[in-house]
Amino acid sequence: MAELDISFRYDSGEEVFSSFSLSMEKGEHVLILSPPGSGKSTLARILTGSAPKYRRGSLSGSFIVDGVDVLGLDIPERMRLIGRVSQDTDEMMLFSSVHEELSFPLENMGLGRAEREERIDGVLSLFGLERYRDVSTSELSGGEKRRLMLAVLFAIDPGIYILDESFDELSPAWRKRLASLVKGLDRTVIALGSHELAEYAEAFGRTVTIKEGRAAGYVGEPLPASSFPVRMNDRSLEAEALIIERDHRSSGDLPSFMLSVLSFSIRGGECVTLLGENGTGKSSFSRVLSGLLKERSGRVLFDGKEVSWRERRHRVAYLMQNPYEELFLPTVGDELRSTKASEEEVSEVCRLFSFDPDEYVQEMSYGRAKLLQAALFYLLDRPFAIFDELDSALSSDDFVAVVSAYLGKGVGLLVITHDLRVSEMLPGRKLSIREGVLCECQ
Amino acid sequence: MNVSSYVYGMSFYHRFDVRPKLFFSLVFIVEAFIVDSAVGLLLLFFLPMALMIASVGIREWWVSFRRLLPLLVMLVLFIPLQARDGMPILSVGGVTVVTEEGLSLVLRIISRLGGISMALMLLLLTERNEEIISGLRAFHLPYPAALASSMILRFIPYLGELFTEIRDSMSLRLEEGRRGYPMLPSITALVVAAIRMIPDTAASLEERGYGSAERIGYERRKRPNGYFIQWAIGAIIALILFLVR
Repeated sequence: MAELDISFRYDSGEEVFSSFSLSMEKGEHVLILSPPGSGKSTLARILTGSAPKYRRGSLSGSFIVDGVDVLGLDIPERMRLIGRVSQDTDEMMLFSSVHEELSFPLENMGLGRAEREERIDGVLSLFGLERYRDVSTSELSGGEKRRLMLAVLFAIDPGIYILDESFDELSPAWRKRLASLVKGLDRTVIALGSHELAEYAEAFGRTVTIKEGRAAGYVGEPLPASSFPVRMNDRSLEAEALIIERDHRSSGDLPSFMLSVLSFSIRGGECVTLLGENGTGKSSFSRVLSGLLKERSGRVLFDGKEVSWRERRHRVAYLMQNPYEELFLPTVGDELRSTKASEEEVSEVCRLFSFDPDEYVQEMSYGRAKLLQAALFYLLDRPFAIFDELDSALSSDDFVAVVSAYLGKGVGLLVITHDLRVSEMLPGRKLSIREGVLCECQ
Repeated sequence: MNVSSYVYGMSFYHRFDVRPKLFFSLVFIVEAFIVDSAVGLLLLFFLPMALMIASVGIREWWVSFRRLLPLLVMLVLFIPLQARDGMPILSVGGVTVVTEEGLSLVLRIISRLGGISMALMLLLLTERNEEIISGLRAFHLPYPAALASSMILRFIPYLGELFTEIRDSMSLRLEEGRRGYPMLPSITALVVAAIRMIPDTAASLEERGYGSAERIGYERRKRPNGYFIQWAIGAIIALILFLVR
């Protein structure tokens, strides 16, 4: 039995929880679904101890597990009781190889070499990462990093698992696999999510939400009505005979990653959805289109004219998977003004995306950071934009609003998603990457 | 801080055990401050460079070395101007710009700085992080100090990587017709990101049990084939550098 009753306020004055109470049976699987910025990640940090120790604030209350108040324990003492997979995987990555990332917590648990290796082999196989054992973590894709962080948690195997948006960034096949793993787990599991996913139903017996800092019953959220504005125009972005290659420089066993794009085109105002397994090259393709990565061969054309990789940066907005890779300035206002937009435009975008210009980026939730990323590129007014899993960590309403805002401006959108519901909801063509080739979905 | 400089390889230097590598990297750094002869300074710069190229190839050497270039260029531009006493080599309108002494000073500094940096890069390019920690533990360094040392060694490449990320991100915001990236906002962003990383790294370490009393002790490393030959080769190089100092 676990009894949680907490109140928490950040030092900035923002009250996140006010008598947030939740009781869980031992082995129960609870899903907390609430919009970005409602305190889900803060809750995860409080339970594992990194807040208020490293995210300053005042905490009161208790979290009683088997008669012990977990909040009274130091962080390392909690490791066997409770563990989390952070929403921002990069935030939790410490070491330079997959093996080292997995081995570190097991060494801290005092496990001998044989047991460590047994557990490591077990979780690598569980999450399909065997071939990445000695690979540098920086060479993994977003979904593979997520699987690695899940593997770390499963290797530690604490009494309570916290999965902070852990289904996001996983391909549909891996979401199903994770749901079935969670279902078979005899541990208490708290999953945190911003929007409904079909896979949740299988693994979680109870769903709650966070309302004004308290736990409340969850009422199902239908997908918003999807009538997107259509403002097609004559602009075009095309790719011909592209070959994209990336080395796994840290491992001798893995062949280079290779993606072939025979032909790709998108028109201004059109929406195209791109699906594919984790690590198939969706982000690499996006980087090539937006001029952040050089292709090995082939060409990219804008309005029928070939453009150099540097020139693409002015044509294509790329909203990266991890918003913190694109947000570096202290406040929302600083970020938006860095686009050289006028004060009027900044105010308008703040109103449209519900931001306060003085809001600190560092204090934002991951989902809000994604929304800011969308606001930033909206101001830049590029004719084409790539949303790399923007739907993860955003509420369905927010995601639909962002897509509508971009399409309403006549921007050509390439949307990368793993959510089949989102793919079905979006207008336009569907593409996928299969066996290293980008092709039209049948 | 998930950046690894390690490049897979089977070169002669890759096969060196981490213990002699660590020891002789340290000896090399100490000798860099003793060596003053022309031959010694040339060896100081070109020996680690040759080893890097032989171990990871010219491309990887260049990727690492070019991070040093802005600093080296600044040294070349400013040090001769600061040290203008001595035999003039270049004068403009009766004003001495470069002297023999100034040029010699800048070459010494470049040789030492470049040599030391490349010796450390060579270590990071040919050893995995966990091996470096294990090697430091073999020299009886306490675990927290070994972990901190390995993180410090990775911190500069990490900042380099982060700066590239920021520069790319900033370049996506540039107006049509403009190239490059805004330098000052990029540096400010780098500082902000590096500071933000500190609490996250600390929290992540603790959540994975760092500081736990249960942690395993040092697990003794096996000696690979040719272990003593490796020490001997390192010692010969160190001795040569000392003799030509």
